[in-house]
Amino acid sequence: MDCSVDRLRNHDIVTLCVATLLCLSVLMVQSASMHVTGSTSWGWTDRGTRHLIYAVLGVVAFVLAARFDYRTVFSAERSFLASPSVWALGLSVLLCAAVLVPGVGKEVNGARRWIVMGPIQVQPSEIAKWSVVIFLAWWLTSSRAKLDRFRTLVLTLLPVACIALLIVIEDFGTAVLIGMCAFSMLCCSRVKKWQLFALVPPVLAAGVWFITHKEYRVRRMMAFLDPWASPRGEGYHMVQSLLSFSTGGLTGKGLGNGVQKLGYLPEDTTDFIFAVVCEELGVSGAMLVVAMYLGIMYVTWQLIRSDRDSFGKMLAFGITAMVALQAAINIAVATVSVPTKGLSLPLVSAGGSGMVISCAALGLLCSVCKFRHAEGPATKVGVNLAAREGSSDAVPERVSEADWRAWTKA
Amino acid sequence: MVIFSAIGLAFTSLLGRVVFLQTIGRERTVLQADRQQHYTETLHARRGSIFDRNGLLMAGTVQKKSLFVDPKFMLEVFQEDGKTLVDLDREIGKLASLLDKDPLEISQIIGDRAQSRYVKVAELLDDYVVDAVLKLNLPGVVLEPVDVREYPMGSLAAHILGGVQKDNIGLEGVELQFEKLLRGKDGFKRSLKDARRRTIATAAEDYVPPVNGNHVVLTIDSNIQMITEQELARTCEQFRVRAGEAIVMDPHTGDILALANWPTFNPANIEDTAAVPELRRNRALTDPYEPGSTIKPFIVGPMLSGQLAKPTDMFQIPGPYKSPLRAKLVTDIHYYGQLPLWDVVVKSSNIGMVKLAERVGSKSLFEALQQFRFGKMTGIDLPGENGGLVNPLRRWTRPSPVSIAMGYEMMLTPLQLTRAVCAYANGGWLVQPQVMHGLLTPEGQIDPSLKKSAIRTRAIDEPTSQLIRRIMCDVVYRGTGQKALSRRWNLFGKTGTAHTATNGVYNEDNYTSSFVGGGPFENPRVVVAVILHDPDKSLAHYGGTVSAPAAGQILDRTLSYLQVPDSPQLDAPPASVMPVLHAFDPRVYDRQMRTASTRD
Repeated sequence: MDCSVDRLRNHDIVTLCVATLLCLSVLMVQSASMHVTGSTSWGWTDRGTRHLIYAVLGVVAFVLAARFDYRTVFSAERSFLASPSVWALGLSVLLCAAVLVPGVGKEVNGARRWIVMGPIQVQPSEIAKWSVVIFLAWWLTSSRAKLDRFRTLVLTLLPVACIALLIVIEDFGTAVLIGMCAFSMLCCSRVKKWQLFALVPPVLAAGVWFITHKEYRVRRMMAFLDPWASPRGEGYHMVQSLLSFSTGGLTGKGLGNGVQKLGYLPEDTTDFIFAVVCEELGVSGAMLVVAMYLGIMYVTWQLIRSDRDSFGKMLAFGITAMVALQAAINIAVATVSVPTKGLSLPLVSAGGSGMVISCAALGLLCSVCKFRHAEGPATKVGVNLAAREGSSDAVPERVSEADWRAWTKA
Repeated sequence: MVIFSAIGLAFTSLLGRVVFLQTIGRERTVLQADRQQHYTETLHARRGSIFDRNGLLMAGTVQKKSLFVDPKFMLEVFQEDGKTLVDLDREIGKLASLLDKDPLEISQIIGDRAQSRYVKVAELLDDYVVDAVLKLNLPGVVLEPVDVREYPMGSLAAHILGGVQKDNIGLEGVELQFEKLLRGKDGFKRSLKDARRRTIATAAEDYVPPVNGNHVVLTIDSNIQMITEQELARTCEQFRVRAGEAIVMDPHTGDILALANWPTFNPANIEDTAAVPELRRNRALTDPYEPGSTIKPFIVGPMLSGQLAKPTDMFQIPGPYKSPLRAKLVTDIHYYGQLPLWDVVVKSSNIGMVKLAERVGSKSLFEALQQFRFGKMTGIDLPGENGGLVNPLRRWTRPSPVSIAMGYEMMLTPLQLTRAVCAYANGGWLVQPQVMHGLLTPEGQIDPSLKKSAIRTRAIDEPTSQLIRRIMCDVVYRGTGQKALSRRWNLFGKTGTAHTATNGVYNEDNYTSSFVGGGPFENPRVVVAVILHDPDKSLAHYGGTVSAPAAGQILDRTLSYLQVPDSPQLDAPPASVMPVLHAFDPRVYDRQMRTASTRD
């Protein structure tokens, strides 16, 4: 890699952002999971160690995904049933359904969201949200899809809605996130806008009905409106998060010096890790985190503006929208700008398998940056964008797969 | 594009929100966080001890522990650790056996108040119990230090020491007078706590150590105090006295060596005596009384000094005397025919005193009382002193000189009288009575900077003071105070028997019997006053019978304790006086005689 900033290529920016977020994540999860002991020497906490392992796995997943040409796997031109994206979606529906079955799904904190597979636990919703992104990117850019027809739109949305409905039962936040992401992707597609917006009122109505028919959800909404009304009850999470920001101040207390994480702030390594970041690192920590997400968004922006295949663009957009939306919602929750949802801060929260999958998805984004394909039928050989941008001259516009391999090894 | 812009905008506004929360929006939350994360602990200053002049502990503070339980926390921790209620009960059983309490009782307290955070289980635990409880390492068990004021000498010097309330604030006596010195200054420790209230750290500026109270050293000598209290109590019980006071003073420095009131109390239980405030009052300086005949030396002294009279002046005492100043007859117990002024004091003749008063007039009498500062506070460093009462001259009536000469129509405290005797014992100086000897420094020295100087005002010239002292010696050898006579020392003194007035009417049943004096005559070391109120008249009521033996006993034992060498034989009165004395026999000063006429 060329070390000059001027030569910073798009996928380098993604890599940098991801690496920065992961490093910060390892530090902050370790910091947030510390507690008072009699010992004065340094020691990794259980949570910190586990998260470090996942982070390493995440890096591996990121590197592997970035090295594959996205089009060889998720080709837009495969037949419906041959497309892995369709199979992934199908598997996701099955998993999401399975997790609801008592005995299969594992219940944590009153929500059945996990499936235990040997040593690892997986949240089907984590897999589902990425398969929705890939499926939509594939389907919306497929030349066979007659997207200007309302019927097609409904058919397109059917599996997505199916997943969202299965998830919403146990995990309202992720369902909303998937819905918002899917909506964003549809907006960018050839779908007619009036058809799309016609769907908004019924979905909103369903959402409102869903919130109001469970009493605890209403209470949570009320608590959001005035967290100080019950600082020890429903408002506890929010109040403690606000206290973290205020005690940190602009400069922060310094890495590891936070106090709120010592039992006051709940979910300090996951949903509210942003509050810990702000308490310990102050506004600079917050800016660092946000800058990394904005960096990823900047890269995608560049991709979309560039001349390349629409599947790649749509995939990059979907991945970025998913990450950015999730981050925005998480930060909004931590700053008590929206009601509490169970969403983690992507790549920063201690997440386990979910984080590894997110890393892989961002690796896919990296892959889109690297391999430029022209619009049209998939070719076996893509443009090695990396090669072209990275070296100054004498790089062929198109290289054969063999050449490409030889080149990258060199 | 629109979507990305929207998300980008959202990020920017969220950053703005973060900055807002960290700066302007933190007013409320920062206080809340401070309250939540910090715990301020008061570090109690230890109350200073009180020592007697020999360095013996009279009052000290012992730190004991009270045991509190936080049932909510206890149950939570047991649940978190996956233990059952059976485990909890077993642990409580161990605790109960250490505290010597019924396990069921403690279980019930914890069960009944499961949501409570602070339940007192036991108080005033000994050190070994505390150690054992700490070893159990039970969650939610808190041991809080409690300072307990203890008085190792029991009720000794109760009225001087006073006592403290439950929160160790002085109520009476030295504990009240020197409250500020003894209390010290509490410190505090403000430390950061995690959600389970475990301490994380304490910043340097959040730790202010307590300043312990000063140790006060008193002028009291606990041995003399004990002698005084024993003799006072014995006499009070013997004569079924209502109340009594005794004071022992060093005539040269004004140091109070002992001060006792009877009946007394135990300072450790002072709050129990709240129902009987009478018991707590230090009557030796709060309750003035009419001194009766004990005033006579203090009137005769200034008259001799002012050359208004001579010891040899003869007074006719044939029988009850009708003074031109008052309608009621003045009576004596014995009518000696005639007595020189010397013997008027020695035999305590009222008629002689009244005739002297008629001769010198009101003004001289008043000035005599002024010289000894009767009716004015002594300024002793104990709370509640009463100045007594001597009417100003303009309020004197025609019969006043008669009453004054016999020790009525004025109110003195026992302390004022004792100080006046000191003037005759130290060559004519008025001293400042005080109980503060100094503060004990950390080096073990006594810092006397708080001790008042023994303000030396001259009450009377030295030759007169010695003459009066000699006359007071005769009181003990030949006069009314013979029951105070000592085998070893030449003591001096004056008796007094005063009618007491109830609702302004004097009656024949209530008397105040008193004796003031000191010893040894050659070089007085101590002065003593014993004042007894309302002895049982069927047993005795004269000061010479009731108070003199007690005072003699106190002086005898005190001088013996102080290892004062035996007195030489007392010289006879001056040759000019001897011939006119009533029935004088020089053998009265003989050591043989002395052996024959001892007390009891």
